[in-house]
Amino acid sequence: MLETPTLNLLERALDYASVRQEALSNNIANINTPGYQRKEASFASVLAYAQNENGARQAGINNSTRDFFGASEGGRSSIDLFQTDEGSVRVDQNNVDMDAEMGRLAQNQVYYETCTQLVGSQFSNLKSVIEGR
Amino acid sequence: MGFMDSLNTSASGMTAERLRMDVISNNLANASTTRSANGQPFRRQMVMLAPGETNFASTLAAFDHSNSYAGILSTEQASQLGGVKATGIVDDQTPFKQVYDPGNPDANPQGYVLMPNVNVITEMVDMMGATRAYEADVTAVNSAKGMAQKALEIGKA
Repeated sequence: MLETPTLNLLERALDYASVRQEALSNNIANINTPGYQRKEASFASVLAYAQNENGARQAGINNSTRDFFGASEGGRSSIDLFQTDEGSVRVDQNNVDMDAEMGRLAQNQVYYETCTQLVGSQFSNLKSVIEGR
Repeated sequence: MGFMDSLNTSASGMTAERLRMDVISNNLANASTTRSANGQPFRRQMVMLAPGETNFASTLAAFDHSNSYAGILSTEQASQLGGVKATGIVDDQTPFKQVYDPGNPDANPQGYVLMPNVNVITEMVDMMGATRAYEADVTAVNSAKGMAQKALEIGKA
């Protein structure tokens, strides 16, 4: 009952946001490191999960089969990290743009908070069903 | 892996920026020091920064051979997010300025005194850079803290 596709997807999204937060913190910490190339978390595994979910739903596959697609495989998803090779405008070849990084940080925070709100509302829906009101 | 790593990463950035600030303050304080311990004028110092290689997740994984500690990121990837570290403080090798001041006890026979290779304007600009970078780290800490607090509110009301 607690392993709903929505909760699994949201869990993955929260994982992604927390890895991204770490990557962004690392970029900001290295804002003055010569030659540093900015890191970014990959959204691919969240997207792949959502696509598997959609595919499974359209094919009318039940919950147990859906698990086969990795929905609750160990309960943990892995998020990839990649290094960007965007050009640098700085003499020291560091390609971290402070303003862009702060923008991403704010965006990531709102994204994470949205996901926590959605997780919370999933549970409150469940609670209202249990309480019958 | 998680918020503590994010906070540690930002903390390493704040430590590095504060070290830069210390070195810049030292440069400014010694902007007119014509004789240091080695008899030469003061040489401007600079902090060398490099990406850090270890964080809590990668250290923990190194001890855990069974790999039962499976984080969201793989060990190799986690070690890419090791924050920043200061690899050393080096002397600026640019030549000293010569100032004509025959009355100075450190003046050479021609009346010229070697002054430190500290440019006050460069130091002030570096100081502003360090301040802004520190502020950016503080923002990142607050953002991570805000996210962690929101996560604690899941299931509330």
